Amino acid sequence: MENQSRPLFKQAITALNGLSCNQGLENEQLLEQTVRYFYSQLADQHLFKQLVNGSVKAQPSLSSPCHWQTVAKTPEMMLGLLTVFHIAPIPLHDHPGSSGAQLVLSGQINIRQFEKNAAIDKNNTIVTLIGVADHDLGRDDCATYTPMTRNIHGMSAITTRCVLLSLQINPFDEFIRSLFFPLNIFKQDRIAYYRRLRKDGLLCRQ
Amino acid sequence: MNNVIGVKKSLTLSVLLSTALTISSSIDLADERQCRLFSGHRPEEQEKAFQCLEEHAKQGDIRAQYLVSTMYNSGHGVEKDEYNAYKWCRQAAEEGLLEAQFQLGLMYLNGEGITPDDDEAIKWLWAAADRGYPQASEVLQFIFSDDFGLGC
Repeated sequence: MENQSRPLFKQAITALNGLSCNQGLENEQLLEQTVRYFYSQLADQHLFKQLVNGSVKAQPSLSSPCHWQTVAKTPEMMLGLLTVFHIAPIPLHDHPGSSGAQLVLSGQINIRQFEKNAAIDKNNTIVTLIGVADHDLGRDDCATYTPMTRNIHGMSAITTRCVLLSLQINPFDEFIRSLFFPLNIFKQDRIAYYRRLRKDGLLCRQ
Repeated sequence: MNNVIGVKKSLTLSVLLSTALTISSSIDLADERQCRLFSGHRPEEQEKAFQCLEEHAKQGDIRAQYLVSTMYNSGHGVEKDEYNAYKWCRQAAEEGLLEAQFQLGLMYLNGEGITPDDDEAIKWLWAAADRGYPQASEVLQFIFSDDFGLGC
């Protein structure tokens, strides 16, 4: 499918080259503008419509709880269509060193965003996170994150499925990411304790 | 019947600590609003809370066992101790507390206080998922999914 989407890929890369990645990395407003720009460039393209159509009809499976369709990918960025299913919420996870923007193309989704309360050592398994946002997004709404802000989030589709155009700048190495699960025990204001599960630890044993 | 006794014990506990701490009297740990213990109190209050909870844990209150486990995890009221956190969590899990079963599964994945053991992890996560603990299902789906790590 990536071969088929090569024209889109090329166009997206060209568009990206006109923007400053370094600026975008820290600037949430620019991130949102960027993903909207991509969408404006791609929305009327036949192949992109086909890809969106495929994402809208995607089905969840045991091995693939969310559906991903790459539109464009370089070492510095990745653009794709993400389908989140109501029956398979995405747990809290981080994006180390990465920025991103996610534009809702169809359906509705709840996104909860968090930040670290304190620096997390690589060996810390119990951490405190601060809830910074909890919002329901519909078509044309956008959520963003940077390395320092809102970098941890969880998603839950409100409708049967929700399709997002997802942009990542400096795509992280998936092996170093973590999942976070609430301990449901200590809570003060928006700060709560979470158990952290590191993906690399799991993969190393497989 | 045991549940009723457990609830009564927890209620007693809540009264004991109500001036310093807010502790849930519910055994439904899935609702975090029902289960909060403020962490901003003075260390001596936390120590007092820990001692009180540990006493109830030793008497077989599975909810107190789980609370003690998390206090060992976070270092509230007691020095951090992964092995004791594991031990109390395991006890509550074996008694059937869903939250404890779920967290024990994660402990086995992380190797907290014990040697990492994926088989044991899956066993406990399945136990919680099978009884309707949604986050256990999420973990089972996502940790072994090849797709995780893309655009989400």
